[in-house]
Amino acid sequence: MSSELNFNDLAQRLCAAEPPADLWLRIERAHVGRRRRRLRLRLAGTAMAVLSVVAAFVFVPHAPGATDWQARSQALEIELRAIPVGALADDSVTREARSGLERIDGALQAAYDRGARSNELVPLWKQRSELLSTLLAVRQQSAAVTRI
Amino acid sequence: MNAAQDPGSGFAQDVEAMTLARAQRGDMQAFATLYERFGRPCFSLALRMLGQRQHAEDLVQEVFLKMMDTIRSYRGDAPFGAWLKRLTVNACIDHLRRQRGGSEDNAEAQLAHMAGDSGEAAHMVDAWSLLERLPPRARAVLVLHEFEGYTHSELAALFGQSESYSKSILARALGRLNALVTARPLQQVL
Repeated sequence: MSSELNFNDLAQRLCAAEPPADLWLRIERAHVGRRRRRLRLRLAGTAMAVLSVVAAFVFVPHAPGATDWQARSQALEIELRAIPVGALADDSVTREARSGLERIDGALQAAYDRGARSNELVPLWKQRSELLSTLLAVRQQSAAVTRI
Repeated sequence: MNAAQDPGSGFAQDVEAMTLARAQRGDMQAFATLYERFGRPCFSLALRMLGQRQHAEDLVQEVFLKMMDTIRSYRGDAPFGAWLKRLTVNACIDHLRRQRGGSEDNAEAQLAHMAGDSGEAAHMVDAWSLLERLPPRARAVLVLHEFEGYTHSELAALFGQSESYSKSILARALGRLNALVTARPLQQVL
């Protein structure tokens, strides 16, 4: 009998190792569990992304440096009412501005009624502010002419 | 022994292209088929390298989960069995590194320490106990070189060491095993 180490024999015996019968079930269960965890994480990530986008839309008009056209429009309106209507109150520029204001107010109302987002509302408030600025300039000029 | 001459390792099996394609689409039945074919060789290799059934079971689970995650990147450049074997060997080596912790590998020191206690061979009852008598890294080097056909250059790359390190560990491990079987004839040991 040889006492030399016989690797062929040793390898044959070591090859006989059988994994436990339930190992595949464990692997399958772990795989399904991991897939569910990843799906939950992906859903949470998507929800976070959606919330970020919504928050961006909500907060963009109030961001530092951005003009709040709605507030500006309201301030101009108050300023306009404080100036008495002068001699030039019915010129073509004023008529055009008033007609534009009516159109924008209608568009704003419709936009609010259908729950429009700020990316649609902000341009309307901006146009309204610009028209109010025009009216204010005309009325200030008219008031000056009346004083003379 | 060379891996190419050893179909008994079980990794040298052909896999139908259809099974692979289904597995790449995440089909669980295809994964089950792959496990039926390769679960056993994967477990045997892990057990030879790690020496403990519980560790080998955990490692097979880790390897198959990784295979399921990464099979889409398998392009068929090498046979599937060779690819899975590489995943298994790499996972075993990572396991040994984790076991070792931050300390320097002490396989040589452990082998040197064991040199004098070959008299314990009388207690050896099977092939497993022979391999279990080796330090983890020495066992891994011996299994990969003698049973799986890895060269010293490949072992050096796997373990991040020099070829002379691999040669030295292997020579000491073989010496240790021979000392164990000399104390008792091989047929009685095995």
